[in-house]
Amino acid sequence: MPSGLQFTLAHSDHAAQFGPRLGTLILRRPNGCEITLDTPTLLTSTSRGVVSHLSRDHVRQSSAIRWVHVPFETFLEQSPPVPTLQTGPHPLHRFLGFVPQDHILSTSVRDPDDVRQMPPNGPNYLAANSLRGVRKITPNEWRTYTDKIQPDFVIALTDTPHTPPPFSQKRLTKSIERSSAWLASLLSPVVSAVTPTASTDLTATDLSQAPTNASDIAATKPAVLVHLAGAASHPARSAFAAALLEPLSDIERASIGGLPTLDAGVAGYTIDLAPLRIAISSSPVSPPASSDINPSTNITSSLSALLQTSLTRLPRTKLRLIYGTLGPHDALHLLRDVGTDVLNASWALHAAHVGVSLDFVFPAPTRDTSPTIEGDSAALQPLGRNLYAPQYALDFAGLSTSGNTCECAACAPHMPDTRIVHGSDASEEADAYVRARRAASASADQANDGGDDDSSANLRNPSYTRAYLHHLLHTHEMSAHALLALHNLAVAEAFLQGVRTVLASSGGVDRFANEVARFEAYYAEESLTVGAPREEGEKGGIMAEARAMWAQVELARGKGRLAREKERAVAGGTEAEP
Amino acid sequence: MLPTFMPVATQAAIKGLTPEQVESLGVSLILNNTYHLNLRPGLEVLRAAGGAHKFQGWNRNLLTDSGGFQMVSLSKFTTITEEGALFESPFTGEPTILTPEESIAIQHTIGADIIMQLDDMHKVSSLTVGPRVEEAMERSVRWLDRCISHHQSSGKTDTQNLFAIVQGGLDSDLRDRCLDEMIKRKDGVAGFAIGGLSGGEEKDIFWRVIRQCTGKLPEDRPRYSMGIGFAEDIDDANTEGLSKHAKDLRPIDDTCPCPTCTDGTSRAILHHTVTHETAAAHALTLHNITFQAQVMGRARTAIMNGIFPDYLRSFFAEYFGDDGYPEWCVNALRTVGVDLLENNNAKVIQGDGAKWEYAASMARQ
Ligand SMILES: [Zn+2]
Ligand SMILES: [Zn+2]
Repeated sequence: MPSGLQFTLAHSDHAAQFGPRLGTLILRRPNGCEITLDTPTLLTSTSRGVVSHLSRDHVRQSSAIRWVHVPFETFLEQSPPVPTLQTGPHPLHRFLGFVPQDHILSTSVRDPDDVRQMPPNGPNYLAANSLRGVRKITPNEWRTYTDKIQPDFVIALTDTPHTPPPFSQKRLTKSIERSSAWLASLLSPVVSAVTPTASTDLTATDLSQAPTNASDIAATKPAVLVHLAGAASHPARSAFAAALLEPLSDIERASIGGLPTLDAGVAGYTIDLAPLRIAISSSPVSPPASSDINPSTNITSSLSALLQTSLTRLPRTKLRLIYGTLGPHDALHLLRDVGTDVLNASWALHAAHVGVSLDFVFPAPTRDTSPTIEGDSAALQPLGRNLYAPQYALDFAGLSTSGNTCECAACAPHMPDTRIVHGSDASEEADAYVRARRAASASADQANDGGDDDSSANLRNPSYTRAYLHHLLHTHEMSAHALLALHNLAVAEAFLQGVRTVLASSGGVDRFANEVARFEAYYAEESLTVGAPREEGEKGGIMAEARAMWAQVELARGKGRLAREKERAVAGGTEAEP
Repeated sequence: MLPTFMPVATQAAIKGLTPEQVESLGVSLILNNTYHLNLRPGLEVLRAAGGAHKFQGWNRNLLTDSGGFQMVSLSKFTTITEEGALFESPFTGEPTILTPEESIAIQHTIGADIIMQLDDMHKVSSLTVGPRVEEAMERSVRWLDRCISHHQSSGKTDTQNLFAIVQGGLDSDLRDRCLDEMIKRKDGVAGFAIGGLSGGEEKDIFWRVIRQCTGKLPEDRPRYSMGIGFAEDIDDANTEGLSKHAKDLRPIDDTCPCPTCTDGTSRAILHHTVTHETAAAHALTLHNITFQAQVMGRARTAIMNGIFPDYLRSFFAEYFGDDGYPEWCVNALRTVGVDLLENNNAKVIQGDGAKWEYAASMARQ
């Protein structure tokens, strides 16, 4: 791990290999700025380099968006990939509009959620997906690109089969060999012998190997994460972990800058759940290597068992990043049974895309005293609301159930700090307006409690209402999805904040298990991810309902839009609505 | 603060932006369409919300139209009677009537700061000349009386400002008569809109009508020139244009104060995301609104400083320089004493030019 990076687990006395973890990740940039994230932390996914539905100003307003993951494959549409042409410090941040002081960027070639079938990877290339068809990318190219774009974390190429499972043992062996070789290629020094230094959990000897000062390394070499390969096979997963830990020969060491093992060069491990789920659901899971874990037909427990097999011998103090949870229940199970430090929540954005506003908290509310979404307080509560539904047309409440405070730009919009001035007199007009607002809010304050005089904090507009979002969804207005994305990401981050608070309390690990049980007894489990395979017998919930209504509006409005575009084309204009 | 740029929020939203974002762009007036809001969310919802300002979270100024125009253009059949505009209900297919009183009542429920009288228009293109124009003009005056009377009796004159709409097609005698009649009713209205133009007419004639109206309307009332818009949504132009910019790391316009350009959002990343990601549409909308507001803001400054002719000359040079100045603009401005070709041998082209609407909004000052 580059020494600009520090990851510390709390409860270091509690040395269980698996189970909920609480930690702190600090990234120090060469210019002295520092990003601190409490873990488990939220990872926000991007599509074609942007957070779906959010403009850059919205991304920056969102305190939930701190760690952003960028699948790189769509940039392979141009040669060379355009982000590699960006000049200046932090090229990837700059190209995509993320802020080096606020945002940690990680990148992988493939979108970890994309499980469409692909042509097979080759011995020395990965098949990536772009709008211009399949692109081949070699380990060397990946190293060259990522050295140029300078993300904070780069995920080594991994040979995940995207052909129909089940996979033969031969295929899995090949997958492991390629993945290790591709990792070694990423770890090999580019020009001068710059060695990634050891992470804080390693010994003092390891740390002393750092050849140059910390800032130089952080500026030139992103931290490397490795995907734990082996698909749904316990023996294959064990074998891959063993390959990471295997002492290297002198020749091998020399080629990767003197590292004793491959594992010594990585800052942590990633696990892509989406392809793993497909592998599990279409093939019988081979028994785990260690006999004390009982394989189950349930996908989630199969997943946990497979992840445990991978992690069982790997140092517990390195970062773990799990990509592809289906919703909060799934996330809680993995936190409890395996333990992870970074979790993506693509589901928050998926829900926003189909008009669902999330509304859940961890720890779950107490049943008798809290307002509920469904009238019957004994029933399992849904995780949010399908705002297409007719009952919201006249519902002027905010997006969260009363009592759940949300500080997102939809629930707590603020009057803008600045306005662009058009014409020399416009600033006077704007100033007059702002003065009037301040005066109004100050007098309202006095009338209310005579107290709080923080007037700028009071220049807050009321929460957007369910009724307004309902209207925007039915009129096919894009701002519905922007507001929902901001809100849902805030709910996901608050959920993880809740997890951290429980873990930080005394007896946190045991309390956490109890709270997971209470959460399961309070909220109905449902996959919030579009396109994830359903477990047998799983019923459609708010997501299924919202998806159906979303499709109806899309069809009706989409049709109207096409007709309008046609008219404009006839009238001589051009129209290309995104 | 006039003239000003007024973005259109037909359905109580501006193309993917939140009201806070729109406000941050320096916009202080937006338009909601009465016809659309009446259909969705409907008056019951707007009433319960406490009006369209509160419903959409917009604290600045709001303007609504009468709803008549969309009713005529979007309904299968419309008949104008003295009572009102008769059309087919989009809900039930039943014949429904929109009277001047009803239009004002709907606009009262929406609660915009500026509201429009219901005027008599038919399918607009057929109404710029001919006998039906006179009838429509006279009826619009009578309907103005009914709108004023309903507006005053509802006690909304303190919070909502009613505008008259000057009719008369392209016939200068009819325009004059309409202007005279409506100016007589000046005390009942807060401002005047210039209507009865389709934008499809000869630009020389269009411009002459605008000038006739602005020449006569009282100085102490604001004017609103209806149907004059910015031609292109610039994103359409850019969608086309961006294909050339796959590797262009420059922003759209490095002098533009919009969030997209000041952040250095490159043409390359816009090219990469446009038509695929709504975030790209948002980035372009932030730019477009700012660009258009800048054009209007600079015009306002130039007028205040008494250098509007200079402004027009530099605007034309910048905007039409490569493509050629539309001849009608050159002619029109010459009659008010602005010679666009002074110290300038720009190319002059016949017809509208691709970007005529920009010029039109300039010329009406
Ligand atoms: Zn919120
Ligand atoms: Zn701009």
